[in-house]
Amino acid sequence: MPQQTSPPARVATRDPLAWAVALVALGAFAGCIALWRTGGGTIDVSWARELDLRLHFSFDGIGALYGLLATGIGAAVFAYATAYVPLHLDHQARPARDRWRFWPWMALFMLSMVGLATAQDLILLFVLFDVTAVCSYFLIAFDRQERASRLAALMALLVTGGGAVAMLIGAVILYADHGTFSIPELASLLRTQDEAGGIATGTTVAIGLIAAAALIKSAQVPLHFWLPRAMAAPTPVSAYLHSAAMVAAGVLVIGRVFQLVEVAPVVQDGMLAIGLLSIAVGGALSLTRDGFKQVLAYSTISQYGYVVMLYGIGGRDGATAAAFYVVAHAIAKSALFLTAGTVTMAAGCRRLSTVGGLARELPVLAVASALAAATLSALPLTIGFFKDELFFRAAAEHSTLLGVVSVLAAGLTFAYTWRFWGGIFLGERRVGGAADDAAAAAKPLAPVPALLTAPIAVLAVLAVLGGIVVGPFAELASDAAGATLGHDVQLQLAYHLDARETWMAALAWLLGGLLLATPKAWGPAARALSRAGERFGPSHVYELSLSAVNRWSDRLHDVEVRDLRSRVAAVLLPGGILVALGFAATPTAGVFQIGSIDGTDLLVVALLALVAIAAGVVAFTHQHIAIVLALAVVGLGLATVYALLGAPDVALVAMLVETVVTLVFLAIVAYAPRGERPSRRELAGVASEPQRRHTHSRRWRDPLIGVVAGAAAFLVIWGALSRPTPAERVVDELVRLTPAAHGRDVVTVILADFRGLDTMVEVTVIGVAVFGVIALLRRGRTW
Amino acid sequence: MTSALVTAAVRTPHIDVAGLSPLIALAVGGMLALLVGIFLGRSARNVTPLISLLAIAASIGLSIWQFGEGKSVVADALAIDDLTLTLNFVLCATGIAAILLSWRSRAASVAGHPEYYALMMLSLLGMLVLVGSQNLVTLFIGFELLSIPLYVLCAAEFRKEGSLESGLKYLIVGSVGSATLLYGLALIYGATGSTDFAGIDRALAGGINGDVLLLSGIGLTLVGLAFKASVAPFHQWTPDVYEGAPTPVTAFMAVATKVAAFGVLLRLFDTALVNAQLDWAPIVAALAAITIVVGNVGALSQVSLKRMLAYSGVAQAGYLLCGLVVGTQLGVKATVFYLAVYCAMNVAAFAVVIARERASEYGDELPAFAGLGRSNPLMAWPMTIALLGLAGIPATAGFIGKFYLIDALVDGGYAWLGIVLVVGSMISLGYYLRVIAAMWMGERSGDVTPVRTAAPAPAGGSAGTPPVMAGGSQEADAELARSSKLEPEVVGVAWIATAVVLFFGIIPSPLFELAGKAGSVFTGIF
Repeated sequence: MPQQTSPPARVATRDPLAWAVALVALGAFAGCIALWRTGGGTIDVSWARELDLRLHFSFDGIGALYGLLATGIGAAVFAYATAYVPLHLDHQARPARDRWRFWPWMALFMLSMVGLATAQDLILLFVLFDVTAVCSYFLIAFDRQERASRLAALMALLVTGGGAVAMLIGAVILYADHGTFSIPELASLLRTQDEAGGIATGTTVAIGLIAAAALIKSAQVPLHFWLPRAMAAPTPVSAYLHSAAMVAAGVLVIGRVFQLVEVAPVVQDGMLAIGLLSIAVGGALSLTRDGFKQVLAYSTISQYGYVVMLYGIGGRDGATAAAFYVVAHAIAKSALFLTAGTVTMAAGCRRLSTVGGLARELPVLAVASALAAATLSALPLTIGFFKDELFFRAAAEHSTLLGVVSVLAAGLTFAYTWRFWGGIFLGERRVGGAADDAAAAAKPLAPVPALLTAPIAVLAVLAVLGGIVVGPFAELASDAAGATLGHDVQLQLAYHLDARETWMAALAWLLGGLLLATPKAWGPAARALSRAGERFGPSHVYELSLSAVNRWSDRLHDVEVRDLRSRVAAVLLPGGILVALGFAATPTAGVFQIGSIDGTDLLVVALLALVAIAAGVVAFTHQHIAIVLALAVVGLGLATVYALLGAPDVALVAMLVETVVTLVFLAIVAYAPRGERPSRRELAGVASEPQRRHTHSRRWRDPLIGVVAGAAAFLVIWGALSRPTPAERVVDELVRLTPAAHGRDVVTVILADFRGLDTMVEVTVIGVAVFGVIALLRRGRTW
Repeated sequence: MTSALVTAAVRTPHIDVAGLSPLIALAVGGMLALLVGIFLGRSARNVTPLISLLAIAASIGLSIWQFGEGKSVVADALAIDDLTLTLNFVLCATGIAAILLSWRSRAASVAGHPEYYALMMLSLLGMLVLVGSQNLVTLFIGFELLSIPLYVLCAAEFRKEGSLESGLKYLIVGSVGSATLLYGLALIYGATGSTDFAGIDRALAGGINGDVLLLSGIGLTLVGLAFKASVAPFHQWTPDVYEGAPTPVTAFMAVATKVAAFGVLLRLFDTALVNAQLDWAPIVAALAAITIVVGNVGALSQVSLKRMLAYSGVAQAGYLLCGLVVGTQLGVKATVFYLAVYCAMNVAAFAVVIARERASEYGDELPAFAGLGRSNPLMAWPMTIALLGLAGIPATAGFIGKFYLIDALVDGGYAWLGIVLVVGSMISLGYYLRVIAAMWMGERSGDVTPVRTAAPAPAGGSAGTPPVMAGGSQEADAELARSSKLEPEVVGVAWIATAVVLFFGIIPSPLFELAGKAGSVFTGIF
């Protein structure tokens, strides 16, 4: 509901909040450059000494690389968003103050990314992982009126949060084994241990868990499905989080803990496999998608697959190539994401099938985004060329097979990148697809604010500059690789026409071109893969498990509300089980002594059997009178047992009480109204329906509860009776003193003499209570 | 009379008034509130809570004075040591919060202000006795002194069916719990020949040797106390009673009772029964795991916030049990730390629930919170932070507390329970986030007349629009004038509790020190 008319976009672009955040990003970028050039710095303060938690940040190579990415790409995206967010809100007829739901989270996200880049402590990594997850939750759900956005946000949070939990568990296992959370300390400890004869399995598991958390964050197969769904976010969020920040956090963590991963070859091999799988699945699915951002999301999965694979290859080549790849990819991919946003703003459509031929109307955008696409597809004179060169070198050095695979992968990249660009900017305007897009396609293009193009152009220029003057970027990557590997790395990049990598690249372009030209050949296969993924894939498992948990919750609720609340059995049954478990767990051999049965004992046994049968009747029958009579049998039977066991006084009292109670019960049953008044909940229809359905199970449940509770009570009593009697000196003393107290039996003496005061007070209390009851019965009149 | 009785010289017992002073302050406060209330007419409404607050403040002050003395009073039946006093700080803080939240509630005026506050004070006294008890008899006295006023308080709003039902239910099931506890205590006494914790400890010095009597006693005692701490599977009363009771009473019950129950669990199991640790630890660990799973799964489908917080309280009880399982000083410290943090988080959440209940027609159900972020950020922020804290998100004290517990578990060799704890927290995000999402992303719907459907139990998706269930709140029903005007004391309580959650989330050291002192009183464990 629009609560006020939104101000025109032009005014809103002067929004001080937006510009403040963008300027902070720019300032932070400058700061990061300064820090990088001056060699960085370290903060190490104790946070919670008792838990061995430290705030340990160090601005090393990794910190510089990811810090620069987070702030630099951040500055570009924020500048873009100053124009985009007002338009976005305007389109959805939302008030301008909703921008407060955007900018603070973006700023916090950037801050936590910088923190993540410099953190040197596993717990800090976990904390900041969670902070980024929470920020992304609110940013993805920015269009909060859309159910799809909210579900996507929840999915992203649950999946990446689950990853963070894995990381925490891994960190705690490492701490338990090695006594520190600090990554550098762990690295040196583990290396020593590795050289001394291998690491423990627990440590490998812990490292695997941490790596898994990182892979989930980088949207690697099979837990990649949250990323395409997260495209429900506004475009600047996607451009920032899903190209340079959130997904980069995963590979950042891998880079940070790489020295731990190195000592666990299983984990490293797993990363290699997952990387390859992600390249293939992401690339193939990217070719089948129609939505701009869907294409880009799957391409991101595929691209981070490269990085993960490079870390899987490891060594100097792998680490340097991975670091360089992250930079080049982030620049190109954020530019492409921003392009998608601008096109949507201008033409109003979000699918490849409804656009086309926009190069004529948006020439600057077309050129800028073509440069970005060229970067991603590794054409020469862009920074992207070098990313693939390093990639090819690392792969070919590892094995020939991997070299071949890397060429195929690069071909795939070439194809989906240019399919995206060509689909938007080349050919004729197409109409089709969804109805709203079709309607939008008929309209002329909306004017595009300069700020929706300029940041893309800046990024494109940067990509080309990087292709010509590659030195600073190479230095950045080698610094990061140095921090990753723990020793200095030199990286020299230049164009070599005759190198093996150049030929591999040329082969890849050729392959990509072929793929582009023959969509009919691979189309059905790729679409079948996509359908299979939706049908049986991990996202389906996610949905299933969510609904299963909800179902359990409902069932638990039903059981508790219907059957267990206000039932004494709810305490007795688990109590009985608990006690029985205690017996089962404790050796009790020789504790019990079973004597022989003779004489009057036989009668006692028969009576007890009768009592048991009567108790069974109480549990089974549904007629009130029968219950009362059966209870009377129980009581009178026990009274007889007392008499037989030599306690006639107790038997008399029990007899009397039983008789009175039975008569009172019978009177109540006789006077009680027929039928039960339905309760409020039953009137509301909550509990009545299932109750009827479960009558059968209830029939058996109550007796079962009785049997278990009774068995527990039996065990307890048996345990008590079979204990050898301790020497009871106090009792002996009392009995000895009885004649001196002028009494003939010890009970009377205790009541009247030793505890005389107590007895008097008790008698008084009972007297007062009797008067109170009489007063109540006389309705407040006092005689 | 007899020679034996005549020769027994009359000895005047030594009464350590200074040591008992925190208890005396509470008792005197409760009685004063009751007596003064008789002579005041309408002004009792304001005077009795003030008296109670002053008494609690006095108790806090006296506790600070006695801190570090480490006394054992009333013939060693009551320990006034750092653990007792630390927990007294927490108890008193929750007492202050409960009194402030009750100030304008219907429950207090329906039940009568003097009686209401007096009962609350006496219950608080019972809790203090319970956490300080080092004798089975004082333990039971404290247990009953805490329970009986609560039975009455639950039914305080006795004209409402729900409140009455809640009180009666609590009374019946609570009596069974008490009986179980008493049976267990009797068996422990029978097996060891002593009611004194130190005496029990001495009797068990050689291990328990499969003594079934003692084992049954421990089991039944554990059941009785687990009942009070709402540990699954003895928690079934919790959601119903929490939902039906007047919300300020629910808030008080949810936090203070748990402090008391865990205080005595720690003392009983870590001093008297510490020699049997190998026997009870696996059972307690199993209970903790069951509690964490049941509480978290149960909370997922709740629409009423009070029910949800009840189940969440069950899950939190499971986390707290983790500190008991390991039987180490570290475990005690972690439990004390988490207890304090848990109280702050729950007080903040309940304060917001109370505010919404008084303002919205939906009462304490999820729709009442929809769009709160926009309409009332002053209330939405405390709720958000409290729920994030309960879920254990970093930068809140909940994270530090859980981390401390995990630390204790790993240290004590129960790493698997730590994993259960972490996974449980993960599940808990599902329902905490639902509320947060409703507050910040939902559209405001509090002013619309709710559609009272007869829908079956809620089956709503994790983030979808929840169905409206019949039976809204008591506070919002009927003639109570509704206004979105904020009551300063409720806002104050919510924000102070939130500040505590954030402060100890970022600078946990002061609370660590306090918890460390509390944990060091158990010299029998490491």
